[in-house]
Amino acid sequence: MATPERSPWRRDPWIALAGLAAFAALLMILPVPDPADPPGGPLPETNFAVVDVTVFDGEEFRPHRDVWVEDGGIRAVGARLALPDGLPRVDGRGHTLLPGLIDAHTHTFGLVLTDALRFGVTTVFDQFTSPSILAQKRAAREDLSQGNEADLFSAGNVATAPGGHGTQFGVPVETLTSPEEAPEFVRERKEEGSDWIKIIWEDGGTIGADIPTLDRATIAAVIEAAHAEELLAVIHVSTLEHGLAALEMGIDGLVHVWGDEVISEEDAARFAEAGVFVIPTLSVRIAAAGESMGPDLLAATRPEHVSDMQRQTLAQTFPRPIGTSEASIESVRRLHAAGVTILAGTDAPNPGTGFGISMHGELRLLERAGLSPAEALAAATAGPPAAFGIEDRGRLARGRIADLLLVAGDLESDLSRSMAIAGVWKDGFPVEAAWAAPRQPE
Amino acid sequence: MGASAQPVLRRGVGWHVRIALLETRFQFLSSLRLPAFAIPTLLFPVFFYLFFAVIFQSGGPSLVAPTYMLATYGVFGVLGPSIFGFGVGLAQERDTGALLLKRTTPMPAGAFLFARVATAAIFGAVVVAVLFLLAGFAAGVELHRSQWFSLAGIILAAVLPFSAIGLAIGAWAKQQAAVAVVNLVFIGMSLISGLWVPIYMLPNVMQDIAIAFPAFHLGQLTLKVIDLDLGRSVWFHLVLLGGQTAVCLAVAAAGFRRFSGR
Repeated sequence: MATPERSPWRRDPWIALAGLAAFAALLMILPVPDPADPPGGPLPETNFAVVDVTVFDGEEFRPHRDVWVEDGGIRAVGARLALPDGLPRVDGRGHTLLPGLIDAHTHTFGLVLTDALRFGVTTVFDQFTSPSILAQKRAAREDLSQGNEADLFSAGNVATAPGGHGTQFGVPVETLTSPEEAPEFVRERKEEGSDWIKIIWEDGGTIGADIPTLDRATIAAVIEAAHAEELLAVIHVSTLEHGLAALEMGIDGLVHVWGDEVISEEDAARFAEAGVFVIPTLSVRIAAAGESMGPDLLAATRPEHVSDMQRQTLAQTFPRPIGTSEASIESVRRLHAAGVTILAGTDAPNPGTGFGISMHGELRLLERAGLSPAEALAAATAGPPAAFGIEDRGRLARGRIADLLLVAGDLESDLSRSMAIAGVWKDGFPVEAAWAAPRQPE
Repeated sequence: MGASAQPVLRRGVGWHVRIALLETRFQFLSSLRLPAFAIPTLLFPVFFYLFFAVIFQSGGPSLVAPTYMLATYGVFGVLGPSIFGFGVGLAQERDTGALLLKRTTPMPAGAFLFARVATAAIFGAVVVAVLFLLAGFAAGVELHRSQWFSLAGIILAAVLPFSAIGLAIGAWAKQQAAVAVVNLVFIGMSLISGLWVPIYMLPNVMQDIAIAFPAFHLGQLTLKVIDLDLGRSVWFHLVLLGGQTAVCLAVAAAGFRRFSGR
């Protein structure tokens, strides 16, 4: 207390320095990534080879192949490649290596793209999401640097009537009411970043409801406008009758199979002749019919790989049954037999499906509908990009991006092995389960 | 004041430093003793982060959300002390005559401004410290050392542009009006700039409007450190942020000229 006036300013510089030091010390103790883990430390080695592995190249199985990955892409695939000394090698014996799976029917909200990646789904074709995310996701899919999300291609804003299906989720939706509005509507979608146009034709008939929907003239006009802008047009229908009518209007693809009746062989042949592809979304169809694949899928995976959201949506059910599993599955069987291109899609995260995880269920459902393991896998790899005119992915071949799924076992003899995931690579970067997996609550 | 008179009279660099630190000390203490200032500015961002990024995301599928929100709530954490300290505090001192009184003392205007900015930075640093501790040890966020430092650096540097906004408000608004105006800017700008809800989840129109706000650019600059920004260039953000800050300072200067009757 000798010089009370003096002490404050004498101490102040020291207090300031001590504060700065404490702050810097705090920054020094905060956790940093383990250098051994992918997201941190030096960048992981993205040049490597998987050797002596059974390759599924997007069409067929080829045993004893080497796959050389370089700078996010596939440099070479072949038997006994001349690999440089020192190139890190992954022993592929007893394993199957395939292109990262592509889910051709999803809806993207929240952190679902990370959920997808953990299950080997490296690209999703979204069939309706908020257009606000499109610009960012377009940039992300061109970017080969390390990320922790599946790539997204999307229809963006769907074409639906005011108050129609698609408007009930709280995402603002631009609607239309007449054929005259179609060209402007399609141009706006294209500018907004939609990769194709998705049309909703849903009057609620199959659930005994009366939902506003686009009239036939408007649907036809949207299809025509999409083609004028060089975009594909796909459609949501829930009855065979609407599916056949859309076929007549020149639709490019259906994003669901119907559940109300089994298609005749003659009608299936019409689909094949018109070159219309079908994404049956059997996962959601059987869930709507009251079946559940949830328990099977959860039993086949490590619990720590399943996020709360995946668990929740898998456990959800529809308020009342819509259609029957058999009508959907038999229709797919006939469409496939007639030569129609079938693409794998889940409609996740709708009730009864889980983002990413349900693609493995969809493969088995397609097998149940008569597709061979190679055909089911093609529907989930090379098929969707080919149908949607996308070049850079879906095949395990030179020049394609290195989105890869490695599973333990022989998929050709047992498709359910797709869940025995031994490795996932996105743009050549390993997706470590520990990185992306949900943390368990205490 | 006999004993301290001697050093105070010599107006060298040391004198300026001492008086700036002294003013900072008193400014900081008076802010700390004003619960209406201290509690919301310290607790708001911390509770928001705790709720949305730690508890809400616990058991969630990834660390993207807690990492993302660390950047945006950090910026939000310094926005409060900066604009409240200047906006409300300054209007109050002006209307009560305290500012006039201070102008009659030998304290240079620079020390006065320094003290306010430094006080905001100290409060900001406390918020950053708590947020970083929560992120690192409760949410499990892991960043490179350089990222932790860069984040802290950008967030604390945000005190300057935000103080300029506060200065502009404080220079013009009356004491009671200042509280309302500052709150409007505090909440409105935070929301539209994507500090509360990720910017990419906002409608496109709002994303376009956000470019007009400094908080948006600071949010994007911090997000750039962790590679979660919208992908515009650093210069885009720096140039707009600089321009916006210059406008705020010009508005503030005009307000002070009016107050001084010049």
